[in-house]
Amino acid sequence: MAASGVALFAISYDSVEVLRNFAAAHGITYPLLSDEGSHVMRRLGLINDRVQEDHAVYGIQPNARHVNLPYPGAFVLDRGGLVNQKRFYESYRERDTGTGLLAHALGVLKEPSAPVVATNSPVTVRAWLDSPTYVFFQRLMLTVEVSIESGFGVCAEPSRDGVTPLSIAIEPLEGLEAGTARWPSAHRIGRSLPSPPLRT
Amino acid sequence: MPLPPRDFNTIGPKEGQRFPDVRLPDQSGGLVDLHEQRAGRPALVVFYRSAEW
Repeated sequence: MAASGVALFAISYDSVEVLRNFAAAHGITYPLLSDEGSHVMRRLGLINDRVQEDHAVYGIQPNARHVNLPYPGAFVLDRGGLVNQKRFYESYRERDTGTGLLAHALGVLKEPSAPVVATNSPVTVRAWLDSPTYVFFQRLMLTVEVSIESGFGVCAEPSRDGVTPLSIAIEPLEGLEAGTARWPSAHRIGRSLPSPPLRT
Repeated sequence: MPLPPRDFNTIGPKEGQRFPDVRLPDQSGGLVDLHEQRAGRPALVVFYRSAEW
């Protein structure tokens, strides 16, 4: 980001000591500002006074650390210091731009780990998460890539007898909330599907 | 039932407004004046909950 001429600042209620250790551990050179007591964040009107209520809805126990917390998000400032854009989200409700993705975009997180690969001819599936680390309330994106050997077809709708449509099932995991899959749009491949149809 | 979402247009500094002056220590312990440190560049100011969790 320094190379692109954009200044970067991160602000939290952590002490200088905590930030010094964090910066050293992650090789962070941009300013991590220490707003101990959250006075600046409160002055800016960014404190989420509903954190405890939000958490209670999800059965999360009150925690002494969950007070004086800001709504997580970011401001984009132009050269004159005016707010050009703001991106914020509720602590319990994820949007596409979350702290994790923002941190990843800023290069704080490492590259995603190697994908998991499974093959059951003629299908090969690769799956990976967009981050090797996870932070409370973060939304992680799971990408599933399906490739098939030539001579076989794949479809996502049960349009033919004997054809099992592609589906993805997430094994239930306590505390995990799985979103809905986004499928690539369907398009005709220009030839009718060969037989035998793909079996799962 | 989850609480209704906030309207973030009404929360914190608004678009088009000058970002308020912020003067806080950074990880080196030195005091940083945000606009001064920005030195006429565009900036991204991120608020996150904690480096500890």
